[in-house]
Amino acid sequence: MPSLRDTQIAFSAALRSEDPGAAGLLLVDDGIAPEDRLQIYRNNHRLAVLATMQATYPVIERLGGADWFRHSVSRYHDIYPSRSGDLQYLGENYPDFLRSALAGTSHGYFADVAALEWGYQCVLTAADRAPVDLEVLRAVAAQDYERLVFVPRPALRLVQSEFPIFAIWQANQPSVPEVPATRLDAGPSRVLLIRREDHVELRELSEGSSLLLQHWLAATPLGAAAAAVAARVVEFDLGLSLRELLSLATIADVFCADECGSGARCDSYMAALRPAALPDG
Amino acid sequence: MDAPCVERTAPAPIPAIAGIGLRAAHQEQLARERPTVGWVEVHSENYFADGGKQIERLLSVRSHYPLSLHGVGMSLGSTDAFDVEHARKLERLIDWSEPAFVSEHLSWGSVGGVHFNDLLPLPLTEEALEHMIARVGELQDYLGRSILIENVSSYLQFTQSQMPEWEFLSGLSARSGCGLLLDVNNVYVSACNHGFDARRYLSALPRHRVQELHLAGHTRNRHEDREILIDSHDAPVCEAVWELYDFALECFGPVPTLIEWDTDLPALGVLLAEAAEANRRLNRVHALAA
Repeated sequence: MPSLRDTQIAFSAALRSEDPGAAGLLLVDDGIAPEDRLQIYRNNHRLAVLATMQATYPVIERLGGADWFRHSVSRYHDIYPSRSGDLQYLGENYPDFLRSALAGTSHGYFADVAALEWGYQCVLTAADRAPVDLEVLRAVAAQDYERLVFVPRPALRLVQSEFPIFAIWQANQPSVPEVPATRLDAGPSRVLLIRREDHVELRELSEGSSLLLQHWLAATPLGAAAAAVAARVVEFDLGLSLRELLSLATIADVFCADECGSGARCDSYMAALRPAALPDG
Repeated sequence: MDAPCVERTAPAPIPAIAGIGLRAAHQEQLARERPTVGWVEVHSENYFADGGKQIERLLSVRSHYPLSLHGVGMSLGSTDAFDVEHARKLERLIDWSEPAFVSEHLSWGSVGGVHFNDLLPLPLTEEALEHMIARVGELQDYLGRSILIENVSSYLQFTQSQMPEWEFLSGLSARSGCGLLLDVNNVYVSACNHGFDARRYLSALPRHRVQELHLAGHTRNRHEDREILIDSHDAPVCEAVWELYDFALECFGPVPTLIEWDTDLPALGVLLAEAAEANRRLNRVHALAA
């Protein structure tokens, strides 16, 4: 008699159609062929995977059409089978899969739209953490500003693309009756996704603000972050970006790092934020 | 992370009346209208997120109804290593929501790290029984509480099976200390698919171990000259299953009973009407017992 382990391995190979006959000898043939009985389980699995991916990537399904999406999900799942009893993570690698599968085609932007949809799912299910009370900044001495580390809230993501993914996402919501023509020449998109009381808010950020937030996500102190952004964005205005990001209640915590890591001075910008200009956040 | 904070009552026991399976589409309406229903059950994995509105809504519902957590992804019958990460998320959800029941399935769903996210049947062998006893014990020890194990519908049988399912379940319950969640529809579906006597199945189970019953709809598929029943959870409970339910109540007495409906979800009122029908039958048994 085969062991339980061997039975499960053979059954798994049969379900994944790697070795369709593998489970045949293990199953009772009582008028309905074992292969036909296995097909019921294959169908159940295929439908569960497709339903989960449809719920995660509705815009990609709309852009590519139902038939293309079903085929794409099937190929994706062959390469990235489910690795958890919790289906929440099933679509985690789909943006990477699309990036590879659609490279060099006119649909390469699907990968970035998928990254936006995956970011949306992550924000929906991330841990709850209240925004920091910005009054704490009042207690920070001016000489410490450049050492400030801003800790973004967990229910927040930043997705960037050379394509106008935010406009594409907006134009392909279920409330929009017809699939509009996709314009890919409208410039890059830097989208902040952040969970609010009862919805996920999406908002385009300026290049400076998105880079500054990217540095905050990497726990870079304010001085070093500001210097790095200023080196890349000529018209970067630290005061404006600080005001924008803090007013969006993006920060869960603020603390002073031991080292700044750069000579950038943040005094004047931070001073501009205190006390009257502190956002309500 | 900040722990979810919702006012709630102490863990409420599940009464021996009908409840409904709560799906996301009905969550807000249930929280808003608070219809009369004995209790609710949710799929644990739908609330494995670290935070967010779904969990907040669940805890809001929990503050008004007794709750049961029903797992579909622990894959207890799998010969892969015990899934500690899955158990950890379940433990966290139990801590947040204080359910009266925690249940899983007599099934497996993964091997070699690949998950099928389905309730696959086990060969009913001595080895599989020993394995399930060990795994149920491991989960109960991890959670620090006993759980219920549910019979699944099956569409195939293994040639190496050595005992009927009722004997397997009775042994599992006796030796692991778990309770039984008897899905009456699943018994009916498997009995039709494999040609055993559903009443014999129910009669053979230990009365005091059956702590919850499930009722659901199924579909009938033609396969050449044969018919195969699929546990689709997309239809009302059929008359034959209601009759088997009456027999189950005779066997086990009044037991908390859940109406399950997962796909092609109808209006909440339809589920509540099915629950009312289950209550009408439960009340007959309550009256007889009085």
